[in-house]
Amino acid sequence: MQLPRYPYKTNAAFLDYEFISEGPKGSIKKVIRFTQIDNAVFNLGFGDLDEETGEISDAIVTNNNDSRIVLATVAAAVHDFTVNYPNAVVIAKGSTHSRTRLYRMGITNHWKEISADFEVYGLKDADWELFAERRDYEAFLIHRK
Amino acid sequence: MSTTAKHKAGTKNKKAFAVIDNNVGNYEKHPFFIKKANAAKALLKAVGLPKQLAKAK
Repeated sequence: MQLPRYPYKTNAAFLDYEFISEGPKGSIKKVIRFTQIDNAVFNLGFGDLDEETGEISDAIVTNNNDSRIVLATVAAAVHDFTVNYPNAVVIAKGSTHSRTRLYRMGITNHWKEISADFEVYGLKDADWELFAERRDYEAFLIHRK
Repeated sequence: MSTTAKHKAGTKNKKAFAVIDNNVGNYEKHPFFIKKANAAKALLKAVGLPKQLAKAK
């Protein structure tokens, strides 16, 4: 999968990732962290880093007109993380319903490539089900096949 | 071997796209990510894992 994405960096642990979003609102540093929350389960966290205050937020609407590139960069980080932690299960949930829907649209748009390498589950009415296109989900689980 | 190390076994034949840079921060203890992880833990506690994955884990 070679979608346009930002160059991004990680540290030796492959748990933390950084990249810069570029657009009409300027350069915005984005950070991604895979946090272990259970034996093999990691939470995918993602937000904007304010380098002056050190605060990270996912509540800001950046409006940098690059959401597809940002999403593709996050997807690439998931790829890298699961290459290094092939048994990991990644849980992802947007900070709002519309952001979770954006994840769903990203998965749907690239389902052929994603489904070749990953099993994806969607959370619907408190139950996990295998991901299906055009279904609205509250969260996602991703696991390398 | 730690759990994290166990996850890293058997990964030598696949390629990462990222540039490895030790200046990238470690955000493990950042309150933002702690809060997100706790929310995810609570969600998992409530709904569990899919049966297929729970068996494998």
